[in-house]
Amino acid sequence: MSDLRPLLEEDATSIEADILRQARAREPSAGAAGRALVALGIAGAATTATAGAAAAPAALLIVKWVGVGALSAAMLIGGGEVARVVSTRSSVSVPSGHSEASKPQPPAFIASPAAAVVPAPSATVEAVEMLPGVTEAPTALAPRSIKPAGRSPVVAQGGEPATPAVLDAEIALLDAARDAIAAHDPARALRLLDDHRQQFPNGQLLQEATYVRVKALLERGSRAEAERAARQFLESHPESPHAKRIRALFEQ
Amino acid sequence: MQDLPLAMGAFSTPSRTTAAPGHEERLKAMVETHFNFVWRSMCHLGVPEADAEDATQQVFLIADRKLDVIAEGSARAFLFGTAVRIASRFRRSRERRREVAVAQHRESVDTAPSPEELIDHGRARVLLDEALDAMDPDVRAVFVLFEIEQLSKSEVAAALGIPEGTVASRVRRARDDFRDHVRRFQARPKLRGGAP
Repeated sequence: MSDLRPLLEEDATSIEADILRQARAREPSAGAAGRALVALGIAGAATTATAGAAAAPAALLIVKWVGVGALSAAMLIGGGEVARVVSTRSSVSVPSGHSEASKPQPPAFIASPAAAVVPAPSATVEAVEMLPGVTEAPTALAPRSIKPAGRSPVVAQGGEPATPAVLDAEIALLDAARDAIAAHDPARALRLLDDHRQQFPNGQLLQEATYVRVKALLERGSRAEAERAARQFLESHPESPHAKRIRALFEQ
Repeated sequence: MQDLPLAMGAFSTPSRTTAAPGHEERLKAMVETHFNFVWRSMCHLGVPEADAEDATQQVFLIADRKLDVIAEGSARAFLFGTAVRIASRFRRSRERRREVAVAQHRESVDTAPSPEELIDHGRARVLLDEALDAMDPDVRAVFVLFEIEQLSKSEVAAALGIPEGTVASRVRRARDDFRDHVRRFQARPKLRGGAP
């Protein structure tokens, strides 16, 4: 099959061609790449390469992963699980749901120019300590349409790993809160976050919940309250991976 | 509001100033060149669009950490390989929520467009996502790269770390699956009009 060519260049039907063309034309929301640069801490870096598809290499080479370590080997050589360090890593992503139009100025605790002081995410992306005993995807990658769990309090025992059911319930509440923010309903998000705080006073995802709360407060326009919550978090968790995410909320 | 120690750079991890020369510039160029490709791949690998941006950012965070071992010209291969793993992790997580997923699927079927609507309203994505979800993950990855992203056979082989012959066989399987799905869709009775 040496002359293998894409279906679009062969005998695709009109509906097949339409599907494939629309798939190819799919694009992220405006500013998504910029938010990634902020998350990476390089929003202000000079670019030396040409952007755009034309800059993509014509040929791809197999990277030699000898000596790189289990992480990269697991990721590229294929098969099996991604290394645990990856599967338990929490995102430090810059949220996409925050309105660009109502962009606030960074508060005092966000140095300016903002991007220049955002540290490299290399080590800070690790969030293993936040999800003890969890091998599943972190909340940042979890589906966001789960209905909140029941309202009876479920208190995780301090220092002990949460059961999958408890963690699922926490994730569900936070996912629902994120959904509410995405739907521009910060009031509902904050109610859900209050539920989370009430049901899981010793929960495993309290830091994530704070991050979502700050985001919800900003969405509601309660900037002072958001800054208070952010400052409290940064004071008590200065080395948390979420610290950077929270700061990024004020840099957009 | 007073500055916090954290805001003053008291991180326990190295700052950008310790990065290798050219690291930031190369990373930024990588983001600018490949962000849409990775984001699109995430969508086509089964990550809902609402989560695709976060997932894409994770890919580049990993790329940042591994930049010194990503050979020139192989960025796209690395990024897609990483995207496959992250998307796979996401799918496993989603599988834990089978009940919700089933409900969502039912909803998507109930609102599936007719072939005419597919063209008229640009809702081809619904059908494509269904077709992709029905594929084996290995086949799906090949379909995404070869049929949607239009990489060459050798590029796909390099990106996925598989022989070109395997690429060709998976393309055939993927294409058959895709076409079968489209045909089945076209044969569906219209579901609109309120009737279940």
